[in-house]
Amino acid sequence: MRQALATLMTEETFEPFVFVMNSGDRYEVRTFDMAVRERDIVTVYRYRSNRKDILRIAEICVLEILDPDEPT
Amino acid sequence: MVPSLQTEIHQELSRRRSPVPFIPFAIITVDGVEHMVRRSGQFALRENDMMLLSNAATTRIRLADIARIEERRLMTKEQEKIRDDLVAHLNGKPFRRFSIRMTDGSSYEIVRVFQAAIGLTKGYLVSADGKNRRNFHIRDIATIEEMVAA
Repeated sequence: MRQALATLMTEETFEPFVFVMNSGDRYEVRTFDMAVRERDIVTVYRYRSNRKDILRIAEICVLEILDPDEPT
Repeated sequence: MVPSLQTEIHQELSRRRSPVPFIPFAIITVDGVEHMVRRSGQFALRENDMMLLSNAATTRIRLADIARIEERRLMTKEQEKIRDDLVAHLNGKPFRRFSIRMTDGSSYEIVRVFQAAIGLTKGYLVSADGKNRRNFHIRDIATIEEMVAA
């Protein structure tokens, strides 16, 4: 997962995606300005909000790639 | 207040309760007191003539006492420009390194994608070496400068 995440969160390979956690919670990352990646955690801001979620990478279950043309 | 105006105020408040994104506004009563509404769900309408507003304490406001409702901006024009600039830098293709200088004099180099993020008015960044991290507000940013390649 860590490797997949590192691959996905690069400029060259970036596609909008959703973090699906072990709990089933979903966090969408559509643009580069929505998230910060660190070694063990990812911080994701919600769309047009100051609310942010801090996700433990070890708790990420699925990386769901979105269709960029699909409306939000 | 005539009943039709009161109904209008009621409808206006109902409309403003939970748009996405929420637009902050101020309720100004006839005695000149200003009540800020900064987030959705901060107030509740009770019957047709009363509203409850939760700030430090719950305030009861009679709709008949409301003189006007005014939108309030979250950011100044300058702050909006800085936010737009930051978003443009973060999403630039190809990504170009840039630095963020804060009003307190500190400076952070953003050398890769997903090193900084911005919400509506607040953001979070990690220094290039990963050792420092910082929550910031748009008003904390002095300038954003592109870094010249060595």
